Amino acid sequence: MLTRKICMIGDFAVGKTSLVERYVHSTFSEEYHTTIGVKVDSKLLELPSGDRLTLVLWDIAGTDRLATLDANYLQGATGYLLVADSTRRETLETAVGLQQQVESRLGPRPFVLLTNKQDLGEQLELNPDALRQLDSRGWHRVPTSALSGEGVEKAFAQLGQQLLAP
Amino acid sequence: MRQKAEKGPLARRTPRASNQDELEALKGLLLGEERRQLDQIDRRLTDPSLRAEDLADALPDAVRLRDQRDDELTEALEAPVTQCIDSAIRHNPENFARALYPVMGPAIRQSIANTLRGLVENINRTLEHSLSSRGLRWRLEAMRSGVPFGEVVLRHTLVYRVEQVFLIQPGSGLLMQHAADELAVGGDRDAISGMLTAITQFVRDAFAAGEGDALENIEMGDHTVLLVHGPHAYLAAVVRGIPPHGLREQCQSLLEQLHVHYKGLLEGFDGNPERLAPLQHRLEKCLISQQRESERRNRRSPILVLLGLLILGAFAWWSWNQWQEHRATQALLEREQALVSQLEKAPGVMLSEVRYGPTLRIRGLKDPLAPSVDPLLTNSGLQASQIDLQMRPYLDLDPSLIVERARRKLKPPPSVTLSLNRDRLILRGNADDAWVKHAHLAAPLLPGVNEVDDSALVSPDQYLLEEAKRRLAPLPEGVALAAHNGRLRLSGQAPLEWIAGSDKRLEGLPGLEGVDRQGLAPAEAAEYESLRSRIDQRALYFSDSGAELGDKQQPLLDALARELRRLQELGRTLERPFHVIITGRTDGVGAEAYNKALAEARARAIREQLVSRGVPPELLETRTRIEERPILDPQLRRVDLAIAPLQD
Repeated sequence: MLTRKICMIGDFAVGKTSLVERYVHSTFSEEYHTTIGVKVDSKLLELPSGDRLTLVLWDIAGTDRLATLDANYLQGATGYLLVADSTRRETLETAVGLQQQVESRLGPRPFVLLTNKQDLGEQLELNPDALRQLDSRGWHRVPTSALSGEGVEKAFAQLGQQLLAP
Repeated sequence: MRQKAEKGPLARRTPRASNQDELEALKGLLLGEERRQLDQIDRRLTDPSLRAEDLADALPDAVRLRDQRDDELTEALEAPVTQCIDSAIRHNPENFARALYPVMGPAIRQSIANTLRGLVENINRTLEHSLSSRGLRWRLEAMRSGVPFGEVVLRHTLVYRVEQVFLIQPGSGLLMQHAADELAVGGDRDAISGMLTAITQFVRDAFAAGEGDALENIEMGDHTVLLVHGPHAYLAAVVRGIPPHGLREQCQSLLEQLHVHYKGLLEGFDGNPERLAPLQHRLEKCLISQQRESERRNRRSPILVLLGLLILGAFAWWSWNQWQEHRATQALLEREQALVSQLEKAPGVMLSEVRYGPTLRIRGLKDPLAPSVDPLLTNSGLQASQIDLQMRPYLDLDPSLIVERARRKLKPPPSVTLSLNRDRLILRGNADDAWVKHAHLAAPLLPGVNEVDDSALVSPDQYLLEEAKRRLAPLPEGVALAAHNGRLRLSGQAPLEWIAGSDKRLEGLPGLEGVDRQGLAPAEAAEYESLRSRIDQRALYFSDSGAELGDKQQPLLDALARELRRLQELGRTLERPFHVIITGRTDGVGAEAYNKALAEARARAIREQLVSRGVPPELLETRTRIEERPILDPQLRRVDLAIAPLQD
């Protein structure tokens, strides 16, 4: 069975940790985010195709640009999840910026954009035009809610499929 | 082929061809043998079938030699052989099953045996430490932490133990291979690898370390993580206890070997740990441990011995108390049962509820006329606080209580006794007509009495006589009783003692006016007289003219002594003191003085004989009687006896 390292990247308070919490049962404490800036979990992913994959999930502390250390944490990642907060327009811009930095570090890697906090429907702020533009670039985008669980499994599964794609 | 190619151009070259041929011929003559050998070597080198033959000859020895030299060959063969086996199993599993069949059984048995041995070792370890003071401390720790006791023991008795070894890809932190012993605490290995890598990276970044610097040790509590770094993989050995000096070198050496032998696999690791499966057993070689010698194996801890004694003592004390308590309870129960049984038998008492226990609870009914139960309670051996007795009054138809009730109601005179036959009250004795009439009226009103029977009532004199007979019984033989007008007359003979006691026995006899004893003589007086007259007639005869008694007189002397002793007793009882006068006599032949002396001697001889037979000497007085005229009569050679009353 294959093991793949993936990273969670996004601005402060976009809900990365809540998404991970939703997705895995954590071995380690939240405190690692504030001490060494990352928390690692693993999750066995079973795809609809029947393929199985161990995802080693590096949840990197929220940041608007990658520091050296964060960049080190990206090493060996075969894919990543970009997370933006649907109720804060600037987090999408951060996500776009982070994606460029990651790509410059790792080269092209599969990734999925998660527009989180979909449960706060009336406060959604993301510019539909901007989203359409990202879609047209071929970005995979999944609306998620860590609160309700909406789209969480789907986002991970989609990244998993991309990782296994030849 | 080459020969042909060489020959072709030579054949076309003329005119110098003949020179060439000659040269060849010359070469053939000079170097023919060497060329043949060279050709032969060339053929063996280029002909695959010949090379295979050579190799087949050399291969076994070559393999053996290389195997003796180092592990290179084994390692080189490992991957292809594994692949071969893998492929063979996939294509023809039956063959493998057949081949493995004889191996599987023993292998499984050995595996089970090993597991059991481990279990037994664990149990031994647990037992060994179970009862030491340290063991108790560890047991507390096991209870606190929820870790099995055996593991706690193992942890404390270990100098060190390499519990897990991680082989991790630097950078990505992906777990490449992992080995753990059976006691290692589980956890998310992938996440641990990632976090270890993150921490390593964090430390390197945080302290801006130079190239080649890396975190080498992580220590926490009794755990140490040794980190050994290599270009394509790093090794993290999780050690419990104090890692020995050489452990790092050992890990370093292992990592270097892995880099040498599996460079390609490590470098090209793509996240598939299965490809690195051959590394597993190499990592397992690092799972080493050293257990502390159980230095105090045979020594008993004094605290433990004391504790054991205390526990034993406490148990003994508890058992003794239990036993005592049981005995006390048993004794109490027995006393309670005895009391209940007595109460059940007591007249006029009915028990309705009995509950045994520390306090005996009794509820019931008691006739007020029934004898008090207090003596029963006092003698039961139970304390007053141990008895909870409550009785309610009721009328009991027990005959004794009916009679008692009649006695209280009818108040009979002392000369009347009452008894009951079924429901008939029987009056006995003597009563005046007024009372008898009252009894006839009142008795049938009493519960349990329907009739009154006065047929046993008698006249006052008759009652007096019967009552007196009853009181004086048994009457001595020869005593007659008569009653007349309230006076009782006693007549006949009776022992003095009986006569003296009769007054007391008749005292308070209802209706007795007086006692007439004039006709009553003491039986002892008659015996006294009879004995006295018999002794008076006694004479003891001497056979010749001496003072020696004849042989036939001896039994007579015995009887006489007995009679005298008895007479003395009777005389004392009757207050009639007496003397025995022993008179010595002789026949009339001989001189008077001689005869007097002889008579005296005879009297003294009888006296002595009687004294020697228990007759008090002061009772005996000797005298002589001398005939005035000489009479030759042998009958006079004798001693006479006479009882002489003493006058006060």
